[in-house]
Order: sequence, then structure tokens, then C-alpha cells
Amino acid sequence: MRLKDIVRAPKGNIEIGKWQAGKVPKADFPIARTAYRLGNSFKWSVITFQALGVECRVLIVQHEAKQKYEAILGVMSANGLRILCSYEYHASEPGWHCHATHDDVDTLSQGAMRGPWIKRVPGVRKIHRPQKHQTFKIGDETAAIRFAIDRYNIETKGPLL
Amino acid sequence: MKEELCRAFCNEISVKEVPAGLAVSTPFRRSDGDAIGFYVVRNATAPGIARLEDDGETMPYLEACGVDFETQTRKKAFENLLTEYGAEYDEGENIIRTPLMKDEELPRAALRFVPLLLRLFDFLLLTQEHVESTFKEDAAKKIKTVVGGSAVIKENEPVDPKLAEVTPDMVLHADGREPVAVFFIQSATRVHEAIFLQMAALYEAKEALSVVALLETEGTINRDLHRRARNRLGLVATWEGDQDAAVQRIEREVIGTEATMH
Repeated sequence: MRLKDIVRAPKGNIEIGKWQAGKVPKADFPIARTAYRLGNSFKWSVITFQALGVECRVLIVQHEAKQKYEAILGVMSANGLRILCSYEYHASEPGWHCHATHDDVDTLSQGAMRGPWIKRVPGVRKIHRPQKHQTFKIGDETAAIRFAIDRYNIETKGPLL
Repeated sequence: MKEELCRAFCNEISVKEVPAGLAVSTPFRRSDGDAIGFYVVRNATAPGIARLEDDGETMPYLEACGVDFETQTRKKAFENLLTEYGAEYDEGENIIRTPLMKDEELPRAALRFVPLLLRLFDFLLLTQEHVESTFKEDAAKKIKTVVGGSAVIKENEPVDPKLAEVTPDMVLHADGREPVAVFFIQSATRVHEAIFLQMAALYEAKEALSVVALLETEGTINRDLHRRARNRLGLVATWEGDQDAAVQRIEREVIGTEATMH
């Protein structure tokens, strides 16, 4: 099971968590040994859903004053979380980009935000297309969630009429 | 040449206005490809005064990549870097920053702040567990956390005077159980010492003792030595890639399978 399989798969049991500030508890997004220790200026929310029989989580992080946004997709396993992709915008970067792996989920290290298996897209010094994704103001909570839903295709599909 | 060098440095610096102040991107990159950047954050009450800050995710990011700043080695290294570059760490906000200063002092401060950030990202090299002291430190810390409440722990001391020829890294002794001597293995020599201690306990001192070899990686010793160790020691466990299970297996060796189930 790879990133593209998760993105293309039908989704179920979608839950969008409330926006909170500061530390992200391990129970919500087990990426670090303890909590993911963000400061109080960061706002975050977690979307959980089922896809291909596994539980997936997306951590959405925003820092309005410093214009940062991240939507980090991970797959839960018995002992933790395996990160597949992170869509990001930082004011210090030329534009939107992601850090992603095409490796099979089962081969990934648990609880590691990055590793040699994760590649940056577009690559370093490659052309970024700032106009492509930046369709919302960072800090807008509804738009931030909408962006993550669109990128990872987190919507239940209804029957065709 | 000087002008060309200046251009090489300056052409890739970008500055954007953000609500906090200015976001500055540098030509230097992290291992994941993102630029090393920092913010100029204005003091709201004093015009002409500002400080440099990271984005507030340097430390959370490093921790989420597996760097444990609770170990003494890394904690001290982090504090030393802050001191060396004249920076501060706001633990509440997890921000690395300079003291407040006049605007005209900021460019020179930036030349010190960027190398600090670069060097902080070098902590990622330690997550490969290639550094002897961190493997031992991490393993000892985890064992103490898991077994500490159930056994008396000695570090870098002989098991007892009759077995003083070889010193294990840890001795764990739970009430009513035989002591367990743990060796953190990064070389074949240390495995031979572990086997020697096990044999000395059994056939010379005639004492009940279980000797554990905790290998840093599967490849730390060759297959023949692995076989000799497995056939002679109380337990051979592997740290890399399965740390929790390795420590739980040591816990069972120390306090018994039954006790770990309660």
C-alpha cells in the first residue's frame, strides 16, 4: 500500500478534530516520543479516516504570524504512525511543495517525520508554482482543512445519480 | 572575486513580509531540501528593536525525526551551541531566538544565527545511532525507565568481587531472581568479554548470572560470533529497529515472564 493508493482509495469514518493550540498530544498524532511540541502560536487540527482497511491521520498545522502551513498524512500501525506525505507552505520557501515517499507503507520507519526515503517535490532549486495551490489565506481555519481534504481526497463518495 | 562571492551569497537570499515581521530565506538547505530560514520579529512596543527567531518548528521537527534532547549528551550539546552563538531557547514556545537588538545590529547577528540553525540540523546525524555514546546512553535510559521500578540497577560496576575481571555496562537485580549483566555491544571484543563473564560465573564462581548482549545492529558482529553468543549467553537481543521489544525482552529476563504480565 503506497501513498497514491491511499489518496485514490474510498474513504470512510472521516472525523475532523477541533482546532487547538500548542502541543499536539501523542494520542492525537504519535509522531514524536512524547508530544509534538509546538508552541502556542501554532494552531492544529487532526483529520482521521479509514482507507483500504487502515486508519489514516492528517495533522494540519498553521502559524498565521509566520505564514506556515503543513498537512501531514500518516498511517497508523500497531506501534505508531508512518508518515507518507507532508504538503507545506513556508514564507521562507519559493512556494508550495511536499515531502513524500512512494515506498510501501510496511517498509517505512514508525514515528519518523522524515528520513532518506522521503523526497521533496518539486526538487531543490526546481520551479515552484506559487499560483497553483495558494488559494487561501494562511490562518483561515476552514480553508486550511478544505485544502488538506482536497489534496488527500478525503471525501466519502456518494452513489452516482 | 569578492563581488562574485557576495553575489553568490546574496542572490539566493529572499525576504518576504509576514505578520510577524520578515521571513528570510537563505541559500543553505536542510537535509530534506527546505531552505534554512529565519524571521526578523519586531518588538511591538519599541520601534527600531527586533530579534531573530526560527519558525518554532526546529526543535519539534528534530524530535519528530528521532533526536532525543532528553539525553544528557544532546542536551548539553544543544546548550553549548546556544551559548556559542549567543542565542536563547524559549521552552514554552519552543523558539530559538537572539536577544532583542537594534535594527542595525541584525545583519551581523544573522550571520551568527544561520550557522546555529545549520548546526542544530546536524543533530539528525545522531539519529542514525552511529555514535557510540548515544546508543549506550539511549539503551541505558530506556532500560532504566522500563526495569527501574522492579530491580536494583548498577552501571559500569562488576557483578560482584568474584566476577571483577570484566565489567558489564549494567547489572540489574530483581528480588528473588538471578542478577542480569547487560553488555551494550558495538564490537566483537565486548561479546567475547560477555561470554567470558558468563562462563566465569557458571564454572569458576559457580554463581547464578544471566549475561545479556544487546547488539546495536544485527551487523555489529559476524554470524559465527552471533552463534557462539546465542549458545552461551542468557540472551542476545538487537537494538536497531526494534528497541521496545529488545528492552521488553531484557525486562522479562530480569523480572521473569510472569511478573511482566501483572
